[in-house]
Amino acid sequence: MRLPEFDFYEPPTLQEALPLLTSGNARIIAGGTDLIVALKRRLETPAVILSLHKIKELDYIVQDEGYLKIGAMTTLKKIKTSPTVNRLFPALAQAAREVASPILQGQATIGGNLCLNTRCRYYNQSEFWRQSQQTCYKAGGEKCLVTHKQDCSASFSGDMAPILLAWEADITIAAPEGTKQMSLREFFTYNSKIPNQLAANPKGILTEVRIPLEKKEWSSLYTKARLRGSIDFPLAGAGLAVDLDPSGRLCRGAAIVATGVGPGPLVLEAAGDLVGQEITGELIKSVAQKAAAEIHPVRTGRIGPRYQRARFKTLVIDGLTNLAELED
Amino acid sequence: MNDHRVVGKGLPRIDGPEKATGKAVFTVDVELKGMLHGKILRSPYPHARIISIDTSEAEKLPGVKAIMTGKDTSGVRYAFVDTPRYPADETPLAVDKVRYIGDEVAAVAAISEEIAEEALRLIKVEYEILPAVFTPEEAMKPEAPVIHDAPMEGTSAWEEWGAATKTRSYEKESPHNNLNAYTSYSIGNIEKGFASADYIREDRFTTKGTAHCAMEPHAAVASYDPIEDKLDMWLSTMGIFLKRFNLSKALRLPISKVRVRHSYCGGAFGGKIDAFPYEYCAAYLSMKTGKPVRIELTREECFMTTRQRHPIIVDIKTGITKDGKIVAQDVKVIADSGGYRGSGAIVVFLCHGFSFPVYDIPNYRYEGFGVYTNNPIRGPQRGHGAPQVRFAIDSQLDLIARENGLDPVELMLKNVRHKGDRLPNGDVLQSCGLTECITGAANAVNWQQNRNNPGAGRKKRGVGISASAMFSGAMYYPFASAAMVKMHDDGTATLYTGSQEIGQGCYTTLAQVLAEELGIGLEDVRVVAGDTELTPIDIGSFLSGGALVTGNAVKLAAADAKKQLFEVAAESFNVPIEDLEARDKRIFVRNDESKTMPFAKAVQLSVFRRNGNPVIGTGSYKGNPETDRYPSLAKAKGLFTPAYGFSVQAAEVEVDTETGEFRLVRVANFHDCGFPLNKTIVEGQVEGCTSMGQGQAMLEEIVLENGQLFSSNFLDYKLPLATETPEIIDGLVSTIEPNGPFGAKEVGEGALAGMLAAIANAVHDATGVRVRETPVTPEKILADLEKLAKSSS
Repeated sequence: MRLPEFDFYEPPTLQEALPLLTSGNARIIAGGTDLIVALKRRLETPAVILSLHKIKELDYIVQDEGYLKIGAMTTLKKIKTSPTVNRLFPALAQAAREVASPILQGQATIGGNLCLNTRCRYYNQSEFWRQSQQTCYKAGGEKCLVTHKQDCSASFSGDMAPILLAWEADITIAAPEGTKQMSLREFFTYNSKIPNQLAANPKGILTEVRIPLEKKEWSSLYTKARLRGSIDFPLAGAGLAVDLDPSGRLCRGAAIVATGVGPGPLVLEAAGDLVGQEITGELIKSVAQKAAAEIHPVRTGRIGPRYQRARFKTLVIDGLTNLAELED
Repeated sequence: MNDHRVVGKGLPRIDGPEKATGKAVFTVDVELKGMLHGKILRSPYPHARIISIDTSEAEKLPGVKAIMTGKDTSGVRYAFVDTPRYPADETPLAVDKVRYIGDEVAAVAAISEEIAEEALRLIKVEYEILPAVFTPEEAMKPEAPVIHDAPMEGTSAWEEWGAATKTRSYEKESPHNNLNAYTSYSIGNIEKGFASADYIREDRFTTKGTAHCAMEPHAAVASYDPIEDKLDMWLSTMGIFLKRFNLSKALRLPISKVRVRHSYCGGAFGGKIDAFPYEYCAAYLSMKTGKPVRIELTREECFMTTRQRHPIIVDIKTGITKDGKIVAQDVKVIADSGGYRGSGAIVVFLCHGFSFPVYDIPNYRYEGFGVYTNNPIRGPQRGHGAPQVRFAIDSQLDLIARENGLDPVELMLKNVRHKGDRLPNGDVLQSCGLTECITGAANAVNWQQNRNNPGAGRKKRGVGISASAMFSGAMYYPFASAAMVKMHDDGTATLYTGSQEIGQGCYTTLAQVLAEELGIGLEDVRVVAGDTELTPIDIGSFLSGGALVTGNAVKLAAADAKKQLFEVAAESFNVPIEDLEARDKRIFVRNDESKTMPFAKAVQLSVFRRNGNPVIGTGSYKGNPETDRYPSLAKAKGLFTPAYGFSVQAAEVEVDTETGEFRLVRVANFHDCGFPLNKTIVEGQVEGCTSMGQGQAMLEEIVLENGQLFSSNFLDYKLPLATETPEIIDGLVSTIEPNGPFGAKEVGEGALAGMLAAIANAVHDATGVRVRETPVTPEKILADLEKLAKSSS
């Protein structure tokens, strides 16, 4: 499969990059691990591709103003090996290790991972393949080929978003008219067709991810189920963070965020049940049960939703048990 | 055995340096001057009539040099199987109908791949969509749409070659719709057998299609010379002589005007021997343009169109006596062949041929149905029927053992065949290490301690076991291998063989056979191989015939060269030829140390004294020395193979009962390969089989919905990774096969076949869950664990 034709720009600065967005029908390429495949399959046929590859100012990991700030073009490999990240937010390094495979981690970026398009077995196919079917809703057709509704069910499968959402991280978006902060929760639209604020005809560039430093005190982890020990997207993933008092039992704050099981990374209400409580095995089970009831996977991949939900529940139980340092 | 100097050792591969340094040329690397690039337009529909094809817009695209459609090739039919009973049912490009998604409709040659791909977008095809059918059992019903309605007339390839005479078409005997192959066989009396059984059970097991996943995609480069009217082809293939035969017939060129060359092949696993339209199209487009044409398939095309392992339904009924003797077995196999026959006629024969050599069952009935559907075409794949049928037989045997409180290993040992047994078709097991393989593999996973001992925690452990058998070549075109050994002035030799290095290491093992027989070192042998013009015929690198058939031919050629050298030396020393022996590139006289001569000298003397004879040894060996006939695919009669390889796989798993996820902890893979010509290469084969079998047992699956493939790339098609690879214990059982060169027979296919049942049985041992359909997945295990929990509460 060959790439379609497009105009390609790789400006050396953000300042030079921003005006190129206004040309219309442009796509931004960071590491390209998602976009290149989509281009070859003609899922995307933009007139312009704007590469951030040469913009060195977007590649950094620093502590500043009470945040850990990570430039959007920082590779996942850099994040997983960064001493700063491993000291302050080891769960972020671990999430980076869970993405795809080591080779792809060297190419993929944190900004790109957050902007990952949603996926579906009817959508992520070749041009030839799609000729055999009606066009799916995500690709511009009338109906979703999974649910037969006028809606898209493609699944978000980013591995970096859950733990960042659990820490209430935010992002910076640079646009020709200026720079703005946005919470990650606001960034994700939970609309499978246009999964984030920059997904369709981007008017800005995601430049930075900020994690509030106080969250480093929380016990956190990203846990992922997949068919094989590498490469695969999550069939279910959970970002888990709990703020335990020094006794290590009482939970002062908690977050559970799901991935791979819905239109975006889902911040689940079930975590609220942990707050103000002493964490016990029984409580964990009931929270996990509730969390699993909050997700509504549909068959967008090879694994059935029933198994995804069951697996997600076990992820939450095992993960929280681990964080609360309870015995299995 | 210890007096061998070259064979039996794990010597480094002679193709290693070239491959490790990137110098090795594969078909995808072949570049010729002025070469065009071909692309194929395929049907997006599983079953449709072609109303019209309009290529006019594509022809106008600058850079397009030729376009072909079914009209250009009408009347040409060809296929992997082309016998009077099973006439070729494929056309290089669709003529009237398309029968699966991916069926070839048109081909374009252009000055670049981009232009060729663009041209495909400009070809307009009008289809009338027809009702389609996607399961063999549906397809067999009388009301099912008929997939092949055109008569298959003409002379089959095998008649043309003179290997077969007209027999009855299978169609006349078929009570079913869409049948493309039928094999039936029985011995003893099945009713009486079951009547004498104390315990009988019936089960259904099914397997999913799997892909070969060769690293190098399928590729062909064709270069036609109009002056000589000669076609030169480079193919990534397993059988250059079979390819030459099929292509010459389909292209209507004399066989001597087709030269097929084999570059290095980046993996085949059975997937590069079927007759493929892309090969024909490359040739045709080169003949049309007078320029070389290269077609390399995309990974998606490889998954979709280059054949898959047959998904098979096995209905099996088995009866045993109280003391564990199998007295009756009734096996019915339904193979989904897809839109064309592919190897359907072979697989329904081999499901019998690869299973009945394992257990000695006095009353046995077998029926195999190959059925057309509108799914992708199925062909040979490592084991070709054995994994599917062994999955059924040994899964059921495990269930029988559990139901009756027997040890599956005991049950296997009680029923397996032994050295000296004569099979019902007449084949005699001149070597058979089944018993040693079973006990070896069982001991390696601590069978007695680990069986029925899952542990108390969330994670349960279990062990399982299965056995299989495999041919070492058989009688199929070109029925034999020949070899030539050319001596050089310095006493070294070059081997000329038509066999092909497909990664299995045959250049090295064949060179070892030559070196051992002749009395030189491996470093003294060079190999010229894989070229129908330069090398003698070869049976091809499929059906596991390489070591035995070609190995024997090479051994005989080396012996012939040695004899010629000895004749010269005997004359010179004035001693009887029987007193001579050879080692280290020298000839010695037994019991007389004073008389010795280097090979170099003997070659020189031969040139001087024997009218310039530079010493060229030749040898040949037939696919089966015992018979001149090929076995009947339909009746399963006739001798099958000169030797059976046997293997046993035992697996240990650890299942997380909360998630259904399981880890393959350990595999003991014991293979009776007769004699390992190269120990390292044999271990590589066994480990490759283990990994491939593991994948097909646990992960891999051709996912289809209405004939459409959902697993056409390496993200969606789940091959096992290093992270999944278990501890592998290779057990090489040496039985010294009298028919094999230095005792060698099959290795490389059979060691996969038992992996499926071994793993399914181990999961059952750990959890009580029985998975009857491959792959055995966490999803299936957890669903069953939930059911078990419900029924017990």
